[in-house]
Amino acid sequence: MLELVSRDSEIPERDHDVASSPEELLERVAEGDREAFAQLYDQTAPRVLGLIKRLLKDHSQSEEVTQEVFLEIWQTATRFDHNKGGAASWMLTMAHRRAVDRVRASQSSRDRDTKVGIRDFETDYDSVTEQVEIRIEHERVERALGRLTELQRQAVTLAYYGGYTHSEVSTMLHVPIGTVKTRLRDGMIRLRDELGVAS
Amino acid sequence: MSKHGSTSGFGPHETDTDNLSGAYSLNALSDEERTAFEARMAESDEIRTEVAELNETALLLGRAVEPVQPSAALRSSILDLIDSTPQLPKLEAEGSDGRDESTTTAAAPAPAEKSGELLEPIPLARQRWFMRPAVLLVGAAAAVGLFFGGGAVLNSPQPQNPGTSQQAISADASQILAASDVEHTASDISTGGTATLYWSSALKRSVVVLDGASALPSSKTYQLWYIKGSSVKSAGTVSASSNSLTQVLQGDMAKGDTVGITVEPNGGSKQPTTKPIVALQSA
Repeated sequence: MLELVSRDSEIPERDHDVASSPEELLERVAEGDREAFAQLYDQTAPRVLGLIKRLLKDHSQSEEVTQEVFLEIWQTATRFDHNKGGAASWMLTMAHRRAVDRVRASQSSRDRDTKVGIRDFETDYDSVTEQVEIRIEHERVERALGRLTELQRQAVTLAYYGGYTHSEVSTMLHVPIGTVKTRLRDGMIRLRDELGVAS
Repeated sequence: MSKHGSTSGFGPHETDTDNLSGAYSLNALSDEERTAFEARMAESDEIRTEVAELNETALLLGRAVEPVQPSAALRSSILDLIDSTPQLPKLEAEGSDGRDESTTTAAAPAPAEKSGELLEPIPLARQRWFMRPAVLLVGAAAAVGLFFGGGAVLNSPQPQNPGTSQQAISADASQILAASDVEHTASDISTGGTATLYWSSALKRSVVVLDGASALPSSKTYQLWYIKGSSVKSAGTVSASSNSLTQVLQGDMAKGDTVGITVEPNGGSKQPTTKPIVALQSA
């Protein structure tokens, strides 16, 4: 029993004595519990910021968007539906949507050189992370992406990590927009199957 | 593997829209396309299932990203801000399974000692956000009363956005609620319950949250109105099948607009046919 406890606590948490799951914390946040909110922030902010910064690149802009996301989490925690997935999923979905909104809002950042842009998104992918869990997910996703056709992979990567619309992707990759739509769909379906996402 | 057989299952005439599930799950659609796709999604179980799976797949892309440590300043800024940021009222009707009940009972009996002064007695805190000076209500109601005497040319009511349900709030709603300039006002509904209007002047949009509103017979609907001076515009109808819901108003909101809610025949009216049950004035 003791062994189990100590082994368990080694993995997920570094400095908190007792770690509550994001779902438990979110339930308390929904009751207006500010301390739970602070804990939830500490647990999840690096991931939220990581994803946002992946799209926006600029650190201070990314922190601004992270702030918007956490305010939204605070406001809407009361409406979080446990039946529709985990708390971290909910938060990351929100983070991605807001990052995309921000990318679109700042039109100047759209003038990135197309080719540099594509290379960026792909090489970024090699960076190693210390956290085992994330590294495993990272490798899994990387392997799955490697099984897509090049066009599928570029389209999916530019859309998700670049925040580009499918018509922008079409311009960047010099392929008709209808093709991009199809590649985004069959690429995602392929990823879904490779990653074993069941219905 | 790639050209999945499911494409053909989408209906007799597979439209261009049906092909957008991938782009949708990656947030790669323009606003108009997203709206069109969501409407299409509402009609098809098959598309909804596919989208749910692809959303989850997209999430794995997000989870694979390397975390970035935020600055200490960000943490304190956010924790400061929540002190002045209201939370949405809970929806009582749906999704209250055993888990929800256990939380409320666990949290309700006493503001537990363990969390110290950080844990506020929630019902009071919530009440505070929904209590507004009575004078505001009177003023707004008077303005509405004045107006509802005369006829006006109105936008024809439009069908309610199918993406808006009692359970989950729409992306539009969360965007308004989390806008940096969001403001709110609340008022009792004359037939019971509370209505709260949240608006963002920057976004020119607003969302109304009904809490404990009476359910209407199926022949009736709540209808929302934007009222400014002598102009009254329909802002959509609300089918309140549950007594709590969050609804984004259709059309642009201007600062100072009053939002009125009336009970109308199903499908909505071109102009209000009954007295408003509540009026909310944006400041």
